[in-house]
Amino acid sequence: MAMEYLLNAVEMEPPEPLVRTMEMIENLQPGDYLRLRHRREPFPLYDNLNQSGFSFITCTGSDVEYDVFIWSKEDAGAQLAAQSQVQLGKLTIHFSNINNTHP
Amino acid sequence: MKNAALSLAQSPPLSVPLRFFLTAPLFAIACGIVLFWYGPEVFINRWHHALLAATHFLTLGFLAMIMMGALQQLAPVLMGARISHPVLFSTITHLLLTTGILALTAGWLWQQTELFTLAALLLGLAISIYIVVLLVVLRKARSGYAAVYSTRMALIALAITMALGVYLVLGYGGNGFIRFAGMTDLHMTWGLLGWVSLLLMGVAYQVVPMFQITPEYPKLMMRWLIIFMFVMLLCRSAVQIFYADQVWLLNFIAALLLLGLMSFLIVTLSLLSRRRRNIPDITLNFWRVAMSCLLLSIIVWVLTLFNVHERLEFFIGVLMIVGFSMSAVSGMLYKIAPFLIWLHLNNYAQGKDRTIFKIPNMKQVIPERKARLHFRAHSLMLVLSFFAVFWPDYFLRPAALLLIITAMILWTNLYAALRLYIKITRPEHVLK
Repeated sequence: MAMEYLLNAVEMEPPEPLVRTMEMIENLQPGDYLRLRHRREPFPLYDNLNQSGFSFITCTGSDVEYDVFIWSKEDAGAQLAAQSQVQLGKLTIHFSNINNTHP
Repeated sequence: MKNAALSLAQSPPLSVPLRFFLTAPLFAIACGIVLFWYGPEVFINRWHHALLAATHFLTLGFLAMIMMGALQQLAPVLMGARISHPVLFSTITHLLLTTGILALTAGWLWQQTELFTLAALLLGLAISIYIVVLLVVLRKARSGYAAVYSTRMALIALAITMALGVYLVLGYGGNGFIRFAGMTDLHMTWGLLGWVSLLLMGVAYQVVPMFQITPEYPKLMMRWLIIFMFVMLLCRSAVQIFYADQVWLLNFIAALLLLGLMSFLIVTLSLLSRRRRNIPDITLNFWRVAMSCLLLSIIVWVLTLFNVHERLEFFIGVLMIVGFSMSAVSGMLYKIAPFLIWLHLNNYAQGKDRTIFKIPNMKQVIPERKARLHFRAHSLMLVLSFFAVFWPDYFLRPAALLLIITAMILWTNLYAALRLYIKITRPEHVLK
């Protein structure tokens, strides 16, 4: 069963959001994705996600400044779950390292 | 499951900023020794040769040393401006700067005029190379554009400070350089209100919201304040050179400059009071002290207009250099240094067995209680040095002694952090 893991980094001091994100995504099971909520756009995280083989969509438009959805690159199920969550929340896609076609 | 690697690919080697950070407290100690040795007489006259040496131990040896080191770290990481041979670059600038400071201060302390020419050459080279390289790499900077152009302006202010300083010091060398009136004041103004203040403002725009978890600075302020300050500094220089007799105009421009600083400090203090997470933080303490000293120096400047006390101008110098700049820079170090050690340890541990390589978290790199000890010593040193301005006979030597102790605590804290790094990465090389 796919799960959403939530990390609320709004009140965390750097580098805690980055560290916690990397720790949490290490343990994602197939179908799972992580939703990171942050007050700043996490630029250093992007490099790390690209290097480690994770996909992400950064969205704006919720009650926090940035929502970042992260899942393992080959995990089509997780991608679908994350994307439907983006649509459901009527979020605006701000930045992503995927092209919008389904794998 | 995946192995999620953590890295800040842009970060230069640890030795690049750390050599600057570990040298700086030594110069602060040197400053304390000079003040202690010469005693109250140095605080009587602004032009006392030992006071000039002591001041430059702090401004060049401590402040510029740390700021130039920190910028080599911040430019690639915060602004994406990468220096291509970071170790070579930092070795050259660090060596030239250190020897230049030694030549300059030795020139004053031992009254050797030929040392001034050497100092002008070394410092001129160190700072010119530094500025040119930084300005070139900043052209490639990608993000955080307020930080980028404020850094650029701070660097230009450093260039002007340096040019004036080199000219002045060549005058000591008896090379026939004639000074115009107020040249030293301009050198000080560009140094403290230009280089130090503009860089601190630019860095604060980034790091205060990021690390203190506050709202952002107002956009209008980030866009215009530093430009406004820079233009005012230019105006002040022009008036000083061409209309030096128009005292009211000089004061008017100074008032505008201070108004600019005032708006920065009011916004900063109000942001700091609106932190989202209210936990004790040593950097916050240092920054609050720094902002209070800045506020105090503005008030004192207004008092000087009414000739309230003959020592007030001297007081402004102490407030700006020791109270504002040293406090802010020390506070910043307690964020930058632990972060760097932690980051490099993390990079080192990549792909290694995590059960063997236990990486401390950032709070363990420099324990809170050691940083707090530094803050307390620093605060007491500040109070004593304020008293020393008015009653040097009683307070100058205690203040000097405390400056030495403060700098020693800072050095020990930084060195302990480095030792931690060495202990984990090279267990066979632990320094005894």
